[in-house]
This record gives sequence, C-alpha cells and structure tokens, in this order.
Amino acid sequence: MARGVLLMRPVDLFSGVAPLHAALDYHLERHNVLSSNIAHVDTPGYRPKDLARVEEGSFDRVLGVTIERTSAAHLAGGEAGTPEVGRAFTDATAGGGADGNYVSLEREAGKLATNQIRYDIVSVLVSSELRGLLWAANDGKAG
Amino acid sequence: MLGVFSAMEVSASGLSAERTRMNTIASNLANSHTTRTARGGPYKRIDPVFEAALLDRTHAGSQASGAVSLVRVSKIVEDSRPGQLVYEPGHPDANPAGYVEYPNVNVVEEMVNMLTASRAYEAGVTSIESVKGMAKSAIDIGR
Repeated sequence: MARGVLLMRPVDLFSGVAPLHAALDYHLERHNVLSSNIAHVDTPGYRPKDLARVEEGSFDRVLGVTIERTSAAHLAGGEAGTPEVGRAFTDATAGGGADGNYVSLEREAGKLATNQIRYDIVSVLVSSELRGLLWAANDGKAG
Repeated sequence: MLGVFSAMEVSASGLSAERTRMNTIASNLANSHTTRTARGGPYKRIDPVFEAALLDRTHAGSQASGAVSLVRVSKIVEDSRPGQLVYEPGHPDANPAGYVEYPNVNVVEEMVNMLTASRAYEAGVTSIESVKGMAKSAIDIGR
C-alpha cells in the first residue's frame, strides 16, 4: 500500500512580521502629520490633519493589479506597487480661535504620546516575533 | 514615505518660527521707549506672520505627505495702532503741543506673547524627543 506523501506548502517565515512592518510605517507616517500640527500651533488659518489607517483589503490591492483607467475623468486606482499606509484627513473638531487656527495643543500632544506608545508596542511585537523565529532556528535551544 | 528625519525637519521649522516670534518680542520690549527711528516717528511694534509651506520633497505614493507642511515666516508686519501720547514739553521729540508719542508696545501683551511662544517652542521640542524615542525603539528591534 503506497503511503501518501505529505506535501508541505512553503511558508514565508516573515509573514508574521509583514503586517507589523506596515503598522510601524503607518505610525511613523502619522507621527509626521501630528508633528506638523504641533509645529503649526501659531499659524493662522491652519486646520490640523490626521492619518487614518487604510483598510488592508482594497479590491485592487487584494488582487495585486492596477485598475485600468479608460477615461481621464476616472478616479485613479491604487498603484499596485506603492503601498498606501494611510489616508490623510482634516481633523478640525476642536474649537478654532479668532485667527482660524484649529490646533489644540493638548489634543495633539495627547495624540502624539499615544502614537508613540503604539509604535513602541508594535516594535516590541516585532522583536518578539523575530525572537520566536530565532528560537525555532536554533532547534528550540536558545534565542 | 515620510520618515524620522522629515518629522524632525517639520518640528524644527516650527521651532525656528517660534524663535523668530521670540526675536520680534525681544525687539518690541527693548524698543518700548524708542521715540526716534530711521524713517522717523516712534518705534512701531512688529509681529511675525506664519504660513504653512509644502514639505520640499517628493514622497511618491504617500498620502500623508500632502498633510505634512513646514512652518514658514511669510512676513513681519508692523502694528498700526497709535502709540500713547505723553505730555513732556522738554522732550526733543515732543510735538508743538508738547506731547511725545511713545511706541505702541504694551509690555503685558508682549509678556503674554512671550509665554505663548515659549510654550509652543517646548511643544515642538517634546515632539522631536518623541520622534527620537520612536527611532530608538526601532533600532532596538531584534536586540
């Protein structure tokens, strides 16, 4: 009786790290936006911006294709090669002053601190993910 | 993709704008009794005007780069409010009626502006510190 051969599907070792990598990118990018808000605390007419996390599975990105534009009036589809880490939006909910500046320093500083903590958490996660791989590579002996 | 250094660049532009404000305040306070200037008349208090300038880089494929902007001092404007008239007939800059026009500098107002500028500067420094912390935790990945 022939014994079946168990075929292992090839596994990408770093598939666990990739989403964390995207999260690091997103938080770094958001840090830029929030730093810009704080820098503009005295700029008249400035409205604070923020960066929203883009849903992972937009249609064209899941398929790995570029949506073709048949008319110049169509909205551009996402470029297949350029990952988008977030969508920028204006976050001017805090009351504006007489000069039209909507930056609330407390709010922005709070967001900045939160963002940093989240970045640190993700980087710790990346570390532990890599340590797990190292442990496996060493036959569970060290790492 | 915006990185650690662009966040520092944006914060630094905010810091230098606040330092310009500090300089104008120092000038206003130092000249609070100057009754004679190169173009005649008493000193007039000055104010910097800040504006948002696009980050001078091409970040292809980054949504956030449009949301991030540098702070630039677009111009320095003169305050047109009239100065205080003080009756000092012996003063060489007194008008025929014996009144001297002093600069339109209000020391209390300048002090308040100075505190605001100083706090905004500190906020910028904090956001640079925060970016440095993030860079450090990124370096510590895998340690």
